[in-house]
Parts: sequence; C-alpha cells; structure tokens
Amino acid sequence: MTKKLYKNHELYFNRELSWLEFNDRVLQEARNKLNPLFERLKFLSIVSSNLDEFFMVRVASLKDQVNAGYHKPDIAGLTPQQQLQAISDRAHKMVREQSSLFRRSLLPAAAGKGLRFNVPGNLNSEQSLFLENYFKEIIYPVLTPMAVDSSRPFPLIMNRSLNIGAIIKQKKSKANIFATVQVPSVLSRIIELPGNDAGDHSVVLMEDVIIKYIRLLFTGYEVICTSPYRITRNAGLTLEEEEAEDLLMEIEKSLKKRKWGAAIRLEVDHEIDDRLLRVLKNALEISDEDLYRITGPIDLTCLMRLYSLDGFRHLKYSSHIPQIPPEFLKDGEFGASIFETISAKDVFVHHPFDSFEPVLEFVRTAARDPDVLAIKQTLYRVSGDSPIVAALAEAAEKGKQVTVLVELKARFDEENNINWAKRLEQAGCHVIYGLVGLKTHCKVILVVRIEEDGIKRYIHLGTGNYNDITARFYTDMGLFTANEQIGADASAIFNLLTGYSEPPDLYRLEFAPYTLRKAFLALIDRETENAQCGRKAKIIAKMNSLVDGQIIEALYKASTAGVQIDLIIRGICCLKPAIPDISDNINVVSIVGRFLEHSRVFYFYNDGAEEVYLSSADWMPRNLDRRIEILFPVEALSNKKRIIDVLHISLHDTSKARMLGPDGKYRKRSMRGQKPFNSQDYLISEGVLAAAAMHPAEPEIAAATDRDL
Amino acid sequence: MKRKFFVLAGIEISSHDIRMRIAQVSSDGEIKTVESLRHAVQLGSDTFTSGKISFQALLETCDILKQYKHLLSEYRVKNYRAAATGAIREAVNREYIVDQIKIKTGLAIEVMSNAEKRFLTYRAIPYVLPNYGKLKNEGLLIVDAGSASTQISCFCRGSLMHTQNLKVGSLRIREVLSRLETQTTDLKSLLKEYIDCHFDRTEVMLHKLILPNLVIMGSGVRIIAGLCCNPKKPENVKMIDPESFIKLCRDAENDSYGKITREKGLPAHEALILLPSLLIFRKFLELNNPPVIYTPQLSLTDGIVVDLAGNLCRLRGQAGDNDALSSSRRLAEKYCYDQKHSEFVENASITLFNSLRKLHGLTDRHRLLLEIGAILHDAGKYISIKSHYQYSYQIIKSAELPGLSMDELEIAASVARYHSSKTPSAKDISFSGMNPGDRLTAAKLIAIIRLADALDKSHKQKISSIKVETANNEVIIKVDAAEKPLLEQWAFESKAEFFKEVFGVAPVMKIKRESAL
Repeated sequence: MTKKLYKNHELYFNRELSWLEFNDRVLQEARNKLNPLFERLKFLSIVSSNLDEFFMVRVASLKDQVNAGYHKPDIAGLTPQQQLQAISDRAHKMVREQSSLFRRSLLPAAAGKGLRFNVPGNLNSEQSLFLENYFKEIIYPVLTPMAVDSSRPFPLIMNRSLNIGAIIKQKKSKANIFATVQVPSVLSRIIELPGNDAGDHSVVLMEDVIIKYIRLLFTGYEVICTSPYRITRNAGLTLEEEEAEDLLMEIEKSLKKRKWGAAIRLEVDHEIDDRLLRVLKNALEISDEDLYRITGPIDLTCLMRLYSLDGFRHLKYSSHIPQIPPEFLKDGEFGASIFETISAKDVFVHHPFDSFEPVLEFVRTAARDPDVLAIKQTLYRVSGDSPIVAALAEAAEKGKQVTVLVELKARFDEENNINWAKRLEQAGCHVIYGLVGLKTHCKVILVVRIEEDGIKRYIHLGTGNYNDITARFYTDMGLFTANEQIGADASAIFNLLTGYSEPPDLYRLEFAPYTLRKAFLALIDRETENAQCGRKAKIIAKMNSLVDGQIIEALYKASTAGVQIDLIIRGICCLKPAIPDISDNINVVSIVGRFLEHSRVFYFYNDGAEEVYLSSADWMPRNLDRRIEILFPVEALSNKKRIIDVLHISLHDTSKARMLGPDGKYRKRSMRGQKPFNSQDYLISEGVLAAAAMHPAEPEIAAATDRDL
Repeated sequence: MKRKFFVLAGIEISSHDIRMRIAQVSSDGEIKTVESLRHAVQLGSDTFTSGKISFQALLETCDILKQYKHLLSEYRVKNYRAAATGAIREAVNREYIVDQIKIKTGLAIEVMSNAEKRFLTYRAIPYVLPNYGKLKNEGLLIVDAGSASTQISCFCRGSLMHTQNLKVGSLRIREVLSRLETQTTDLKSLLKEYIDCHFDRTEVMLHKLILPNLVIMGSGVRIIAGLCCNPKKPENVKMIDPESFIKLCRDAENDSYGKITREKGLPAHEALILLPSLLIFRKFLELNNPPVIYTPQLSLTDGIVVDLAGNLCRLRGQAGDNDALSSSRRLAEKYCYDQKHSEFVENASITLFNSLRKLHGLTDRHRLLLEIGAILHDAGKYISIKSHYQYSYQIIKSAELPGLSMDELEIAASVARYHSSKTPSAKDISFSGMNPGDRLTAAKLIAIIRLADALDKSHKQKISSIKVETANNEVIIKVDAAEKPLLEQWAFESKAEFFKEVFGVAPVMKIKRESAL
C-alpha cells in the first residue's frame, strides 16, 4: 500500500519545469539591484546559455520521444507532448522577462555607469566613420551571403549561430528571393567604438552593423526587409545517459524517425517581416510554440564578453583570493612534502574558499618525486591550458607510470577533450577512454609511492572536476587521504576503469552503477528506522539535482516516519516539500549566488554517530545507474565538523537561498527585519580570517600575542 | 633507501577468468595485497567442447595479460609466476597457446597440474582462515569446485587423509550437458543426476570419516558468497549460514535463468555456473550438516604469492610436504600394502639419500619424490603380482598427491616402476619422454631405491641398521642383521650394477651380524 501511496503523480514536480524554475532564479539574480551591474549582466548571459543547452538536450529529447510515439507520462504525470507545451509557455514568459529586464533596467543602468549600447543610426561622425571602416575592412571579407532559389536549396544554418535573413529582389524582376548571411562567429559580436567626449564606453552589436550595410552584400538587388534570427538544433549527443531504458529501446526502434540535428527553436526579432518569417518557419519546420519573438538583441550570451571589458572592476564582485589550507604550509610556502602532510592526517579542502593549488601541488610533487611509481587520475572537464594536464605530462616524461582516464563525452566539450588527451598521449601517458556506455564522472587522483616499509597510496577524492578555472567559482569539496582501505578501493576502481578487472568489492567507497544506489537507500532507510523507534533522525543532503524517483520515495517514507530532512539543491528538484503526511518534515532550499553551488554532501545523524559523505553524484538516475560515480566517507572529526558547519551555514542563508514551496515556486525567507545573511560571503570571510590567524606576522595579531604572553 | 619488503605477483589463467594478485611481503613474513584483479574470459567453453583454445580467445587473453604486465611494471615487480590451469592445460594446442602468449606478451606461462594448483592454493588458506589448524584437527572437508573439476580433500587429526579429483566442474557440466539441455525442461534434475553419478563413490569413502567442518572453494564460491553474505565487502573469508545457502539453492533451482540474471544482478556467464556449483556443494553440505560454511576468498594467485614469499623469508604455519606423504600412505593402505616392508624401504632410501648427498647432488624436494616412490613401490601388487611395478607406476601416475607437478609425479612413478627387476631404458617411451634433467634425477633416485629394496628382499626386515661410508671413491654400506641376509646380499649385488652405471661407483655391502641373545 505504501508503495502505491508514493507513486501518485501529484507528489512530484516535472524535472524540466523545475529546471526552468532554476533558470528563473538565475534571472532573479540578474534583476537583483544589490548585485554589481556587471555581475547582473553576467547572470543574464548565463540565463541564455543555460537555455541553449536546455533546448539542445532536454527539449530535443522530448521531441525525439514525441516523434518515436513514446507517450509514457513522467513521474509528475505529464506526457512528452504536455511537457513540451508547458516548457514552451514557461520559456516564452522567461525570455520576455529577460529581454524586458535587459532593455528597461540593465541598459539604462549601464548607460548611467558610462557604458552605452548604441545603434549605428545614433552615432557621432567619428564613430560612424570608424564603423564604416570596420565593416569594410574587418567584417565584409568574412561574410558569406547565400540566396535561395530553384537551383540553390535552403542552406545549412549552423546550430546556435546568429544570422541575418533578408528578402531581396532583382531590380527588374518581381520575384522575391530569400537570402541569409551568418554573423561571423570568429569576430566579437560586441564592437567597441571610439568613446565620446565624456570618456564613456560605447558599443554596438555586429548584426546591427551588417544590417546597416547590407545593401553592399546584394548589389544589383533591392533589399525589401532584413531581420536577425537564430536557430537551435537537436544536439543528439548525451541522450543515452539521460533517459530511462525503456525509452531508449523505444527510440532505437524508431531510429529512422529521429531527426538528427533538426531545428527545435527559432529566435527572431519581434518586428520581423511576415514574409521573411514564413520562409524561415517553412524551411526549418518550426511551429508557433517553438518560435520566440524577441524584443531587443537575440542571444544574450554575448554579454559574457562585456564582462572582460577593461575599466569596470568597480562594477563587479570584489576580488576573492582563495586560501591555501594551513596544514600544507610551512613559512607561507608548501612544506617539504605534501605526502608527509597527508600521511599525518586527512586534509579537507573546500573550493573556492580554499585554493585549488594543493590539488595541483599534489600532482606536481608526485611528478617530481623519485619514489612515486604511478599517478592515476580521472579527467572529465579540464580548462583550456590546464596545469593538471601539464603536470601529468611532466610526470610521464620523467618516466612515471601515468594513467589518465579521460571522459570524452563531457557535454559539448568533446573537441577540447580530444586535444589535451592527445597531448597526454604524446607525453607518454597511458590514456584511457573509459567504459562503454558509462561516463566516468568520479573525481579521483591516486598516487602510488614506494616507501621504506611498503607501498603507500595517496588519494584525492573530490566532488568537482579537476579544473583550475572552474575551481575559482564552483563550490566543491575534496579530501586528501592516505587511508589504506580507501587507497585499495581507489586502485580497484582504476583497475575497473582501465578494463583490467571486473567490478570489485570495495572496503570504504560506494560506487555507481554498482553499489551506490543501494548504499544511499540504506543510509536513508536507517534514519527512517531510527525515527520509527522514536530516536532522533536527521538527514542533510546537498547536491545539484534531485530527480531519482526511488530516492524521493525513500525520503517521503523517512519524512513520514519523522526524519528531519534538509535538502540544499541548487537546480532541479522533483521532490515536493511540505505535503501533509508525506513530506512535512522536508525542507528544500536552493542557493544561487556568486559561486555556482556544486558540492555534493550527505549527512546522516545515525543515532548520534553522525556520518558525513561526499560524492561526485547527484540523486539522478543518470548518476546512479549510468555513470561511474563514487561516494566517500569523511571521518576525521575536524573535517566532519567543518563540513557539517558548511551545511548549517548554507541552511541559514537568507540572502541567496530560496525555499521551495509545494506549488513549485521558490521564495526567499522572510528575514524578520534582520540583516540578510549570505552564506558564500560568510565562508569567504571565514577563510580569510582563518588564514590570517595562521600568519602571526600581521601587526595586530602579533601585538595581541605579545600581550597574552 | 633500504626497503624492508618485496613485491611479488601471481597470475592465473583459468577456464573462466584471468586473475592477478600483486602483494608486498615484509621481511618478517607479513603478506599484504596491493592489487587484486579479475577479468572474465571464457576459455573453458572452447576447450571443453572443441578441445582447443580458439585464436580469438587467445587474443583476448593476451590483451588482458598485456594490461597486467603494464601493472607489473608499474610496481616494478620482477618476482612473479604466471600459471595456466584448467582450460589451457587440457587444450590439445596448449604448447602453441603458451608459445603465442610468450611472443605476444613476454610472459612465460607455466602449465600447472591440478594437484599443484590446489596445493599452492591451499598453502594460502592459513593466511585467510585463522582457525585452519583447529578445523583440520577436528576434521575438515574441503570441497573445491573449479570450472573443470572438483577436488575433495579430507583432514583428520591435522593431516590429509584423502584427496580426490573428479572431472565434474561447474562450467564443464554445462558444456558437456549443453546438448541435452535443449531436450529437457527439467534442467535441475538432469544436473543432479549427472552430479550424483559422479560423486557416488566419494560419498561412501567419506562416510567413514568424521568431518564436522566444511570449507568450500572454487569458481562459484565468489558468486555464492556474494549472494548469501551482506554487505558486499572485500573480506578474506566469508562465512555462509547453511540456511541461506539452502535458500539460494532453492531459488536457483526454481527460477529461470533470466530471472536469476535479472534479480540477482549476475552476468550471464556467472549465472551459468551458479546452479551446478550450488548442487555440487550441497551434496557435501548434506553429508555432515556443518553449523557454518567457510568460504576463503582465495585463488591460485594467493597461493603463488605465498609460495614465492616462502622462498624469500620464513612464513608461519607452513607444513606442506607432509600432506603428500600422508596421502601417499593412505593410498598405499587402500592397496593393502606390506606396511613393514614399505617402511623399511622408505627409511633405507632416506638413509642412503642423506648419506650420498655429495654423490647425487639432489635436493630435499627430490627426496620427497623418492619417499613417495618407496611408499607405493609395491602397491601394484594389489592388481597383479606379475609386473606389479608397472601397476605401481600407474597408481602413482593417477594419484592425487597434493603439491606435485605433473613432472614430479612422473619421477616418483618412475622410481616405483624401476625399483625391482627392470632398469630404465630408452625403449620405454615414458622414461625417454621425460626431459633430460628429470630423466637424470629419476635415474639417481632409482639407483637408490633399488639398493634400499634389495636390503629387504625377503620382506622380513632382517637388517636393523644401515650405515654408509664414502671414502676413496668407494661406497660401503654397513648393515646389522639379526639373521643371515643371504637373499638380501644376492639382490644387493645384482642391483649394484645400475648404481655403478649411474654414479660410477660400485657399492659394497658389509654385514655385521648381531649375535642372538
């Protein structure tokens, strides 16, 4: 009976709509006047790039389902068709709000701060001259206009490219011809103009410039109308791990029906000429629900470029310097051996408050240490010019056995991944591309060292990718340890990943897709049992997304039994909190702030013997069933305490945290007249203070110490 | 940096998987596993049906071995042994396979006899089963069901009573019966009948022994322990409650193949051997109803590591040779041997061997082979007095002597074969088929046993003590005798010839007669 009880569609949110709510929270940050102006522009740009990916993957997948004749409702009871309709409604509203915010609020605010968005018709003579030259010398040579007529079919329009469509006709003919030209992606879309007398920055958008001079592209023709447009295509990339198995089979059966690369969204200017729109809609087979008429510029991802403009530091977050944990330091530098430090005790790091430098130092030291036999590491997404890759290559060149497990299929990053994978191979690393059908998502570094009394393993386990750039703005956690059992487990996992061995039994780690789901369910059920026996029971879990039906059921059961459950979920949450007798003990908050919340932390009260785990996995079927993920315990008391503190600090956030209501809406908590508490800012200052306490050279602290003596 | 440990490795290529264990051994004998790997490869299905290993399977094997080699070089392991058992051992093309593995991977593979494999594996048991000694004293039955065969060993009062290999293995059953499986819907009855008909005699033999403890080992054990024991953690020894074992048996009998794969989350090749393994073990579980089933998580790779470690430092609790001797004696008993004569020949052989070390230059391991030959040299008389040495040879050759390689067994058997009238000659195919080193060893041991046997030609143990003096290129054997050993003296002289042929010295027997009181 209980089983059926939790199957009710009413108890769940649809994951796509929940995701759109997350994007809306990003949009709210763009709206928030307390955020610095350039950060607001950046949030606005993120809203756009998020939507792009959402359409290419999620909407595309739903369209595939509809085309395959798959009508099974999701956990919230919506068929793919119904989901598409709901997404379209919500996304249209969001895009309207986004462009209105840009035009009505951010543009005037930017102008007030000396940054003007101009249009070519509104320039002084010096600027006009500059622009004309810029068009003729820089833009014009890279333009490739294409016309459609009986001998030339509709051209292939690149995914996510911005284009200008035009209706033209020969001067003597009556026939209208459709022509299109891509706004070149090799040039910056934002063109900075020479300033005015007031010293303001002034920019124009390239599509406006091309439109202004479009006649030069079609000499001998009359240009009837022009308008920018943009299409998004089905990326058809990462479907496999996203969807349920029965769906995959269904799609496989009707593979022919699947439209690879079909256009799934058309964005046009709201004033587009009807004739032009008709051509585009027909050629791209776009229906009204996939058509987005936008007032103002299309594709605000370009605002990210603005962020790097010189001279606006005061309009961004004050700079933050990540701290190196004092355990590693000796006289302000990395101590004699990072291995001795780790050997002495497990060291916990929390990025970006703690610096990513120890992770780099770990690999670099291993590369140079003569007693190191082997280095093994998983790489999912790394930065362009990654110091990790450089250190691994150096190690291989120094004759170490270096095994790197590269996940090529990290979304939309394939090409980049292949490049540095090649570089590693050339250096002599043993590069492996993982197991067929299972993305390697766990984050592990294993260093094998030969020491006086035996072979010793040093391990770093993390919640986020080995990416020094994102480590500056993603909150992630990591643990350095020399625990023998964890070392043996890490070795076994690498042997599995390299194909040397079959899934082994592990001592301390749980790993997907083998034991992780069971382990999570067992940990939740243990709390449920404790609560049923009248003992205190509590779960705090922090992650990016909660989608998995089985886990949600277990949480409902736990809540019903009286377990206090706090969930800190940045993105999608299909669980519905505060349903009487089902989830009244569950509280869901989402933090969207300066840093992207990314760590996955799991706390269980366990009748007083508290347990804390970190993981690379979210509570999503793809993480639990179709990826290699690990869950690892944090056992040293001080580390455990620090993590529990972080969870409580996050739960007390009243500035960037929003609470999920049973209606699916997220609302900020009432502060009852108190000063808002920003958990990320608090953690920054805490880190700085802790680091300062470690440097007695600071005058005040030195004085205080003297007095105390 | 002075290192206080060694890194060793053992590799096994069995019928259904390839395993490797890398371990470090500290100078005080502590063994710690560093890496443990297992990769399924179905070599057995090739051999058991077609008799050959396919080229495809060979390539797959080499790919895995190359990876293992990579890991060996990662740990800079120099000291390792790689053994092929089961499927490769029985394949008609095994020489080619071993050669190709060597060429493709650089790994020298030794083809290991069943007895040697089991013996090495059992050497590792004390490391994972702390109460092994106690269990052996109380009476212990070890059922080791591999994919190709099952080994039954019983221990009473600490020593091996009996060991027997039966060609019924979990994978072999499936391969052998695969044709019949399509003709019945009642697979479990077919399997049961097949297993019963192969194990019936063993049952009778075991009935006489008190064996309250049960250890099960073999390829299916890992799967069974995984299904019976929770949580899945890498333990050295898992203990299975017989009740949950029986429950699993029932599930496996009643559920379809697909259901087992699905519900138990087993890969197909594991589900395949689950039921036969369970049925084999259940036969022995029902015999003695032990309170708990011990499943040491061991493979040959553990045994190899322990063996290699034993060469480097003193290990604790290693008996070893005694098992081969105690089971030789039990075998001789089975053939109603003349115990007194046998003991005389055994002791005389040992005395001669020990005294003539400078002459023969052989090792203690060779002395073990001599002893086995001596214990069983007349066992063939049970079959026929005429040409009994021929039957003694066959008995040893087909015996299950723990720890002996196939080559060693051949030497021990030759010792028995040529102990009396016949001397080795190139015309005997089995003798000339041995490799030159083994042939020489066998000849030396034969020369010794012939003298030892001659000293009790009358089977009356007239000679009470033997002393050997070697000086001035002479071998003088001084014996005390209660009555005149005329027959012995005559036999000695005729056997001395072969001794001279082998060692270049003619032994002389000197008798000091004890005066009867």
